[in-house]
Amino acid sequence: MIGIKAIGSYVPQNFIDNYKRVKEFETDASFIRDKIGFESLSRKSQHEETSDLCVKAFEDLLSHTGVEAGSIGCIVVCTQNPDGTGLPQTSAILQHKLRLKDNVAAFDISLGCSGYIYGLSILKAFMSENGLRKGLLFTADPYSKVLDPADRNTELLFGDAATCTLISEQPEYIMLKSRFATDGSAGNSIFVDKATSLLSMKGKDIFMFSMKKVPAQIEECLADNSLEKEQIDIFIFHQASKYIVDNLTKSLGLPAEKAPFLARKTGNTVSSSIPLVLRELLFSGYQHILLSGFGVGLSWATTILKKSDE
Amino acid sequence: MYTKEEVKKAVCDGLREVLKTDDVTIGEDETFENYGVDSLDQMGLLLEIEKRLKVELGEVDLSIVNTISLLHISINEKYQ
Repeated sequence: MIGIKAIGSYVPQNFIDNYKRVKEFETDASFIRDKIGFESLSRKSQHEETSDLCVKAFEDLLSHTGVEAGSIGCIVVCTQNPDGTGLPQTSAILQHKLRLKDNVAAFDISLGCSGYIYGLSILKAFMSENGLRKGLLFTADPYSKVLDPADRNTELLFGDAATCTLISEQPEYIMLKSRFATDGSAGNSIFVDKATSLLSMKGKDIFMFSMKKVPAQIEECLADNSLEKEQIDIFIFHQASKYIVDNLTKSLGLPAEKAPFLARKTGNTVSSSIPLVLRELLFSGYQHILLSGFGVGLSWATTILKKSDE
Repeated sequence: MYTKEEVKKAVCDGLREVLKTDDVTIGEDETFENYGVDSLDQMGLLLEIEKRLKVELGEVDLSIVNTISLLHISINEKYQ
């Protein structure tokens, strides 16, 4: 049985202090602290490419696991802000930077905040189908590449980060049944404008979508796995904002401590937000962990991890 | 059709939930912003009003339709 063995991460140590920008964006400290929740935002340096962030997340993985680069059979990069123009694919650039052999499968997947859950399922299926024993799922979506510095709707929210999840035998967690959903009709709720190449987001639409679609999917995923909410030890929601995490928690009738908001320092790191939290909880001994990601697309996905007996 | 009283009750109940207070005394023509409802709480309030009146208000922006009176008109234009 393959599943999640370990997670490496990289958060650039250059942080923008949101409290210092309250005047510029006509807001106040309580709004930063209690509502959006992002006190600072991690920012990559200008010369760092998406694949560079992935390399650093892999180095972190190497530092606390014995994985040998030569044993990796597959790498998948989840990003919508790839190196250059996306051609060639970031995963191929990464394969070269990691000095992996050329018998490695490497491909990108284009998804935003639901991408980690999709990626887990894709990689697990791909590895199982092809008899691969070790694979890496990277998430790296540096929105600083597309942020409009003057846009209050987005500039206070997004941070840069990357994660690298090792999928292998003798895992810490196995993936149970997942649920996936899409509503392309609302795709203009968050998109990069072709004319400006800058991110545009309708915050209210994203909030309403999150509150209406995500709780229902979580209930469906629990039912698919014959589990009750009470049997889930911790819920890791995409860290879209404190306001959204808090309202989802309330909507599902969960105690606040069961659905932590842990992105105060980094900001919303898109597909990296869930694995950044999961990394901290991987050796906690929790029996069941529910993951739910939602955003760009619109796309939403939920899965449940079960502690492995192996 | 919804009466202004029904809309006002939905708004006040929603404000109690969103602002986490029992003491809600908003006037029909007082703006939500003046009452201390920030841009995020406007979203939460809209959701609470939808639930209470069983309507879809996705296109309503409470920073523009910003009083109970204006919201009453807006809802009835859609659900007459």
